[in-house]
Amino acid sequence: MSCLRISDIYEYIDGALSPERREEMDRHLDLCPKCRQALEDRQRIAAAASSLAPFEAPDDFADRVMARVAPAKVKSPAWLIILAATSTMLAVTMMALVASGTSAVEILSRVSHSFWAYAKSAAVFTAKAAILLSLAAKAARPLVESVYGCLSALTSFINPWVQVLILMLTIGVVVSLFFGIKKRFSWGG
Amino acid sequence: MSEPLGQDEDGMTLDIPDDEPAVGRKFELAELRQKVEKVLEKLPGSLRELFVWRHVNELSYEEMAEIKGLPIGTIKNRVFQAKEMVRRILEEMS
Repeated sequence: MSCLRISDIYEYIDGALSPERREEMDRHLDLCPKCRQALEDRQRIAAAASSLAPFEAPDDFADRVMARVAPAKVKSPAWLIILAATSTMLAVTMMALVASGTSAVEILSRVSHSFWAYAKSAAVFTAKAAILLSLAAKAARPLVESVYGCLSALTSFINPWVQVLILMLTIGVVVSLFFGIKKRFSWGG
Repeated sequence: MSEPLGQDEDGMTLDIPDDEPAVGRKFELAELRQKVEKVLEKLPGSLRELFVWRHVNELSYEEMAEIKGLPIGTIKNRVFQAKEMVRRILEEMS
């Protein structure tokens, strides 16, 4: 085997060679001091370079990488998706009915019947939800009243200025928490 | 620096010279690291970037090709040039 090329040496260092080729090169390296020295030399330089502290990336580095790797998807508004899905379903249903030989009057009659059936169901559901909400409000009323009572008792013997201070501090803590969580999870880009 | 690397058209078939000095072994690893850092400042920006991505950030050739929007072969070629240029400048410094 003739002496190695420098590109072979870098592929050897990168571990990018097939086992057969690597074995062949190992055999040559055992016999050739020049190639062995060339390999060891480049291995040492690579090791020194790998131990360098990571360079500080420019501010827009992540954006540039992401722009290359995963082009931003254009989000369709939810209402547009719903409208498209509904229109498609409607069109498919109409086509199926027409194909089955149903007349236009019958189709309209069925559509209006279905619409009213859905409207009735929605009205019943809304009424049930309102009843549940009123029951929940009744159940929670004693709790709200006791909290209100406690607050009234507290405010009766705390100086109004101290109350304002406590309120401001609470708002500050809540806002800080909100922005902290937002930053932590990178909401809003 | 201005001396050509003596590579083929594809820049990947440079033979090892008979009298190539062992630059890497002339220095302790810590000293070599400092020298490599200085050498990187002398590299052209595009080659320095690829060298750092490969060795320091340990990106794969595929990742670098994706980021740069270039074929893998071109990236490999440039990284090869960068590595050999680093070695050549180290040789001149020693």
